[in-house]
Amino acid sequence: MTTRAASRVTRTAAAPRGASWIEALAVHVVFVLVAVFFLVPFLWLFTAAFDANAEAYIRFPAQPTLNNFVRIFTEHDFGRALANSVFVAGATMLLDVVAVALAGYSLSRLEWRFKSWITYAVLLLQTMPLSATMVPIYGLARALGLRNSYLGLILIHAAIELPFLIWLMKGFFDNVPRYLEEAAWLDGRSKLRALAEVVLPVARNGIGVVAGLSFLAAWAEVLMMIILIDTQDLKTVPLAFYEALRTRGGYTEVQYGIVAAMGVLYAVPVMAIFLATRRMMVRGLIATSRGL
Amino acid sequence: MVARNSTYLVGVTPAALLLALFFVGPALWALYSSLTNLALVGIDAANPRFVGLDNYARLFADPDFWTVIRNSVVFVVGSAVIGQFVLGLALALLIDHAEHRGWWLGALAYGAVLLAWVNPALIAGFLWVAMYDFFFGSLNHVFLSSLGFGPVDWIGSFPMPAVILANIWRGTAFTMIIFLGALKTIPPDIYEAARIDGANAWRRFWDHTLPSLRPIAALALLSITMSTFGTFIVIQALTNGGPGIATEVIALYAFHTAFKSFSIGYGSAIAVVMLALNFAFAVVYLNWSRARA
Amino acid sequence: MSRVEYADVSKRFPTQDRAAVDRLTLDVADGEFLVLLGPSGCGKTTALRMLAGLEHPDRGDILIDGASVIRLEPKDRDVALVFQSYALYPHMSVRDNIQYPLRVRQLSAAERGRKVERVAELLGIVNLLPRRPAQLSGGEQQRVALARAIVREPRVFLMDEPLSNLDAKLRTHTRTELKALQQQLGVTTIFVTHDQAEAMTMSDRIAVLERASRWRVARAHRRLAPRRAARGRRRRRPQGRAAA
Ligand SMILES: Nc1ncnc2c1ncn2[C@@H]1O[C@H](COP(=O)(O)OP(=O)(O)OP(=O)(O)O)[C@@H](O)[C@H]1O
Ligand SMILES: [Mg+2]
Repeated sequence: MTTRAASRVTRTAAAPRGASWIEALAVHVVFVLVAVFFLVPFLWLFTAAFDANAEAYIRFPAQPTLNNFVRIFTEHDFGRALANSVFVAGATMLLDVVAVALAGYSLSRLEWRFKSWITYAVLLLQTMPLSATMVPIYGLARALGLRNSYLGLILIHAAIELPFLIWLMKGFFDNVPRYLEEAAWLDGRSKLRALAEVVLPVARNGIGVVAGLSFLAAWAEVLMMIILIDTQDLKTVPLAFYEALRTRGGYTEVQYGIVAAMGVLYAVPVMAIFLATRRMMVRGLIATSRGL
Repeated sequence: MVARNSTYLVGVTPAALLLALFFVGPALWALYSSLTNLALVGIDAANPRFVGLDNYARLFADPDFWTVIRNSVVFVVGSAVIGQFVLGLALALLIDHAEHRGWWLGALAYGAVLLAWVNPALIAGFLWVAMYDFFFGSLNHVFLSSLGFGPVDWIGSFPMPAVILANIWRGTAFTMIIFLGALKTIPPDIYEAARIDGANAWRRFWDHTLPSLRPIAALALLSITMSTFGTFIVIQALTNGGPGIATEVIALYAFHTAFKSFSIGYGSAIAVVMLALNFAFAVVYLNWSRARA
Repeated sequence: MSRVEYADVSKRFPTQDRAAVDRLTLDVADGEFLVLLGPSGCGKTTALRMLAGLEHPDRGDILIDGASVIRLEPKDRDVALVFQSYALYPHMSVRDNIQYPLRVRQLSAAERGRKVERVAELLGIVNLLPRRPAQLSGGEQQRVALARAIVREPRVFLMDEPLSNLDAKLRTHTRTELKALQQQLGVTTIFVTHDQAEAMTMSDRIAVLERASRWRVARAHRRLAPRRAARGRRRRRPQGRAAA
């Protein structure tokens, strides 16, 4: 009792007392500058998207309009891109959740001499930059007929984030005590059903993070789209956006309002999902660099 | 024991297949095709010849390659080591400090930094295309002109600093988050003990806060070095390696070689060099983090 | 009708120098209530887990009703284990926890309900049924874990210190209830405890594990003095008969 009271005294005595107003002002000015630097580009994106005559500089639209959004659907076939993206990202997510749940759980429970090697190899793959393997992936996809196909897009996007997600999910499974699934086995369940009915629900935060990250990654990814897709039918959101942006320096002048409207529809789902699940996502991220 | 483990080995197979197909396969394929004159079109596309180390000899003799390597180093040091790392660390310390003081504005800065990071890379590139635009970009048209300065050709005159700044904008959140997490794990009793010893704020910072961040700092640094080394989209959207090859980093060079000059074998040699460099970083990284665990 | 036999069973964990269980030979008669008694770390839990199929013995054989079970998956052994750490499913209510094994066996909802009510009443946890395990005290969790094992009516009960977290009064009470229930069901039971009094009052026989490999089995109520002389004879014999 006495010790607790004593420690509370030191804590209050130690806390905010010494803050001078100069310090407070300096810190706040820095925060404002930082916020401005990081937010201004977005300010432009969101004003331009609603501006019929958008320019490359920030200005508030005289008459906010949804015209740009209407035009990307009517003139630029953005609806198809949206549908393709949702489909590819959704299927990638499903495939990843299944593959990652199985692999993460197995790696977590495996007792094998070479297990640490497997984990090491997974981490090594995780650091492999996509931009280094894109040329060979292009060659491989061409040889296997995976270019210009949904299957190719889904398989490749499922693979891209796989090492990281497996490693992340293994951490979540490591925190699920083994006796839970053992109890389910003794209650008469097979390993697979014990995983589905007992382990996964307990590790549902991890599954949520895996689902969210795999969807977002597949939604946002553009490099593989560029090298794998060259038909209009399979055009996805990032590809539509990329094309609209690439007209810069060509004969047609880039229409900032159109590109910005596409950009909003491209970026907002990512931001929304991420920010809604921020705590979980950030925790997953911290876990990666702490536990490594 | 064996029987029990075999179920788990079965569980790994779907993931293992995907990884073999799209990670291991391409790496091996790059290694193989870098020893051939495989091309995207023409005779060499159908019948690639084994050319030994010719591609590598050509690569190392190519002055452009060394410019590209220098560009990559400058880009990584500027945007990862100096920019993201230092800025991320400073922000983490400030935000943590503000939290202790009960100042909420730190949360705004945190949110803004995070927002820039969760964007698709392509959006980041595009936003900075608009920011830097010579005639109508916000930097010239709004910022400089309101200060009474004439326009600056940001991308033309300062291409490398321009892409570095854009990448700092996008990537700072990672180190910031990592350091904020690490700061939260410092047990408060360390500070309390230090306080009882009469240590002032600076001493506490130098003696306790910074040292306890050191291990995670090494890992964060290596980690962002690797991811920055592979940066492609931001630069491609912004300058596409130009003007000339002023911002051509190694990832872009591999891409341009393979898809503009259609020589896959040569492009693969570049990819192999990239993979080898990355592998070296990764091994150091993993061994450090092992040692920590 | 389940007789359990450990025949010269040994287990060493790869990370460990010493065997966790060394040449254990033990014969538990059908319907018998056998208590395992011994110091911490002497291999009691490991012995139970091998019977349940959660660990694989390095050597020796384990039989239920004369048939070797060591090749069977845990789910096919029809053995219930009350874990030392309870192992309640945290995402299910107490009711769902208890009826989980019945659901696995595809009993009808009505029948499940009836059985759950009965064990819950027996263990005094009816009012806990709608709660989650996280909202229970250690003692309450322990009773739920017991209920989940009892509700199944398995061939063998394995109980790893299932009363350790109950207060003295509840403990005495549950002991009596559990013993009466076991007699009524006639299910072979192996029960681990550190409590000598508990061992005395509940058991038909007591197996004392002094260190790994030193097993002695005695009838209940017999004084349990260390018997070094027993060392030479101990090994190759079914210990139950030796002591009987
Ligand atoms: N999974 C495991 N890996 C390595 N060693 C283990 C494992 N499980 C148990 N052991 C070791 O085996 C020995 C026996 O353990 P066990 O849990 O069977 O003891 P116990 O008699 O149940 O002890 P207690 O009374 O404390 O529960 C101990 O030395 C323990 O450290
Ligand atoms: Mg035990």
